[in-house]
Amino acid sequence: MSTFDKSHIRNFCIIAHIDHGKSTLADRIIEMTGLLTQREMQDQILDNMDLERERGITIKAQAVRTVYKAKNGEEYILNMIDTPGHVDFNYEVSRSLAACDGAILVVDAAQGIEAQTLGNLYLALDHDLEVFPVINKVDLPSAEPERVINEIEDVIGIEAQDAPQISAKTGLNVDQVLEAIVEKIPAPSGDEDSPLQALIFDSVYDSYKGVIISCRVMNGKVKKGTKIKMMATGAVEEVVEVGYFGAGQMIPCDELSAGMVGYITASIKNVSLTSVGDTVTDNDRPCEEPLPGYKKVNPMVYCGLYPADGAHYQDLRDALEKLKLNDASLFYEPETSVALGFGFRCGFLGLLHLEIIQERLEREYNLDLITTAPSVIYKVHKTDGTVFDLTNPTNLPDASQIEYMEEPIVKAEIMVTTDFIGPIMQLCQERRGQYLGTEYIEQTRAVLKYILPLNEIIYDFFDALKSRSKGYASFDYELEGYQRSSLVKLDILVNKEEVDALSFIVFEGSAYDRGRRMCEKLKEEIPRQLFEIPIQAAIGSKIIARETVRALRKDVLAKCYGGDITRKKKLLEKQKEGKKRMRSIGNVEIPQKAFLSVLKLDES
Amino acid sequence: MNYSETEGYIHIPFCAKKCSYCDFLSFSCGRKQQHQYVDALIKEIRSRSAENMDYKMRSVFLGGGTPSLLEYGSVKKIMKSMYDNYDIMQDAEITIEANPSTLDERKLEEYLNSGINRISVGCQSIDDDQLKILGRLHDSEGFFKTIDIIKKSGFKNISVDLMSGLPDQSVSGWKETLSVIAELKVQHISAYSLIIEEGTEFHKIEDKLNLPDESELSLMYQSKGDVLCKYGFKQYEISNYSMPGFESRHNMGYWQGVRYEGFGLGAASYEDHTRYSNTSDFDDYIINSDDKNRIRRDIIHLTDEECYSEFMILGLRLVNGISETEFSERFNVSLDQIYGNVIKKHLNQGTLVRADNRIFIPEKYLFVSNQILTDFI
Repeated sequence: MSTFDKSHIRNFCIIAHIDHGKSTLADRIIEMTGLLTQREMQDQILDNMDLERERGITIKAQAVRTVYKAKNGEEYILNMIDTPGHVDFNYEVSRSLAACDGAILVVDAAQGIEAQTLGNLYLALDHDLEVFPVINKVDLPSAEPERVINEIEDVIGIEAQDAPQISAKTGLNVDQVLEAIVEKIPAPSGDEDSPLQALIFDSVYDSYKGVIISCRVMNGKVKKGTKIKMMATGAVEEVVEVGYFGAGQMIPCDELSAGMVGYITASIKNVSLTSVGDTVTDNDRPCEEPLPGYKKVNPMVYCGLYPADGAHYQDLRDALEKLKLNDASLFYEPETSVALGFGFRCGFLGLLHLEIIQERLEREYNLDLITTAPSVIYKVHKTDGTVFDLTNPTNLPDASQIEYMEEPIVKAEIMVTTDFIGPIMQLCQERRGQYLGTEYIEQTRAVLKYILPLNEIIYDFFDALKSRSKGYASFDYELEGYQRSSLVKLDILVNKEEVDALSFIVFEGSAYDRGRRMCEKLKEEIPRQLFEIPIQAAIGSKIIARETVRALRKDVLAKCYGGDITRKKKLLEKQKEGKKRMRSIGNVEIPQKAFLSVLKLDES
Repeated sequence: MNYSETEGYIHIPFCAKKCSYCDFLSFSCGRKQQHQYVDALIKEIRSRSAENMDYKMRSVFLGGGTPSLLEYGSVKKIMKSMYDNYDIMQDAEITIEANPSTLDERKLEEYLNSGINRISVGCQSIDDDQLKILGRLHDSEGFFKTIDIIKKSGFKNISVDLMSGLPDQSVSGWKETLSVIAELKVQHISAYSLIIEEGTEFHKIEDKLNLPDESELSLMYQSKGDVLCKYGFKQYEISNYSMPGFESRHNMGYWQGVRYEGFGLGAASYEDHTRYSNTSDFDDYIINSDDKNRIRRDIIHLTDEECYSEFMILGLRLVNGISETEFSERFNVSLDQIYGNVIKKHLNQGTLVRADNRIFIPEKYLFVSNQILTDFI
């Protein structure tokens, strides 16, 4: 350790649009600096959740340290911090960037700059990071490195003529990237003798070590025995261990000093005490100011999660508790639904976060779940002058008590080839977008700027965008605030009984259409039963749409004699199995699938 | 219910030709195989006599396949062996299944002399085009002739099997069929809705069949009752109608949970909470038919819960349903203790009726009875 001074450390991250090869490049860097042999490599080592590997996205920030012997003969410590790759985790991204001194901008040689490329780049520039571009996937037949180089220079305004042209997949020219890291990214600054100031960019819970804090030391030093204090949460603990991240393992060391990236453990039991963005300081010799940029992250999207089988309520509670240990942004509280029984109202950073949690609950905890329609947080201004945040549509007070309502809005940038501007503008129009303007990046590409209500984009906006642009549009957004809006609660009645789990808040102007589509979808999903089942959509007491599931007319075992009782019984048992996956609302059995299908109304 | 009663089923797996819709254990065979089979059957009948010492046999049913295909003398041999080895009740119902054009006066006389007192004729349809599609070897004329000679021979209890839901069949055509059959003054009609089973000829060509849709099927089902009632028939089970007093005693036994002994290839038996089948392998059966340890397959021991469940799902097929008293006598627990909630739900929605200590499915819901029966599983 001591043989390295700060001038031989490089702290950097890789930024890219999804699928442009960020994780693959990270893998090659790890491999080529000899940290792991090829045989030990499991592809995309940094994405260590199955889910991350499958979806090709990074959910949690990760750091890895390698040692690189440069062409000048000297050895450098490379701390690579992998940042999450989705707008839901923008805050985490910004904290990871704050821990770096430079960034590699990876751009796909075929696809060029995309919305996230820009979004992440601006974030990096906001943090004063030194950025250099890399053109990836030059081995693809459709690669046009020259065009992309020009695009980078024109659009972003950074020099790109000597950008390494690489194939992270085959390793082609990755050595040039390593050299560029040493040459172009500045060594960290900071003062080892100042009071400790370390930025938390990630924290995970480990059942043996407690919380493992990933941090970048900005000033001062920390070692075993230091009494550390988390400045935002006020938690004070004694350090048990410090160290850095090898590939897939933690390597303890004596101390972490200014400029270094590593981890701290201190027998902390809960990640909510070690929020991302918080500053770690020395309790006995605290710094004067925390590092800038900390904020408390609040959920933006809520939905109800229910065990498909009511008997698994406790299992769901345990699983959420465990996930929460590791995910401070996950929120949950018990709720009860007439239709679905006992479950939880859960809050998420966004729809991807919701899906990730849902998938982890199903896969890692083997739970079968029913999810209610996701909802944003509405501000309800009541006639008595009070305002409250509405996270569950069921809790909306009677219309007579509501003065007005507000909904969250986002500022969105959609990058699209000019051919598709028409369809995309139409989509934004349909989603109540307020057009702000268009910026042309080059002749054939433009960025459309819109203010959009969040509840119009949380369901399926991304899918719609992809399908209407044949996959060419990309999208990034940030929360802009709240806006007054005409909103109503749409209720669904099945056989004249309201199904609370299907209620949702919708823009008044879209209510009729959504109600109708909802009824149509439910008609498809609810199997015919002994009786005719009316399905109605209502606002208050007014029915705005209706469909009917006709009564079943034939469902019988015509023959059943001595020789086939066993087989006929099996047929009934099979039918019974199907019924088990349904929820009874009054006399009507509603399949789980029906609850889920209404979340994807626009796909059909 | 008398618990010392049992029923006997004898399976004759031979057919001249397999029908397009048939998934039963049946095939065509030569004379030598027939002989071997009848001998093996008689060996089995004899070998199981001891375990039935304490039982009176209240019915015998020769089913198939096509039992009437057996050559002269075989039925008599089989029935003699039954009478020799089992205590067959005086008034036992003894049925043989027959296909049109396989019978003649001599066979019918042999049946009557063997103690057979009921004959069930596989008519299926009286439309010759439909009969062809079904793969039947007879035509409508053959059927009417057969009924004629059966009546003349002296049988007083005749049943006819019919099928609805056939390719190209119309509701009016089906009604016509029912009237024609009812006018023949037979005592019993089984009218099944066609089920296309896997492994049948029909299953392979299902897409090409012009089958009636669900609402037509439902109308066909309703019209059964409408037409047959006019002729004095009464429905007593989902697919079965009879003149008063001519309900099939043997089949009632299956639905009421009576013990039964199945003899022959693939035949199923039920006794003392246990159900099993004989082997379906012809050669195996021929060699080992008198050794139950070798031929019994698929032995299923039913738990108490499964017995309750079977009592309900079989009993509720009957128009007069199940007896609550019988349930509690048989299982030493009241029906409500086991199924109180389910029964309450269905009574409330009118899909079950409780009267005179019985529970039954109202006629109009019999054709969707699976929806109700699944709640008893």
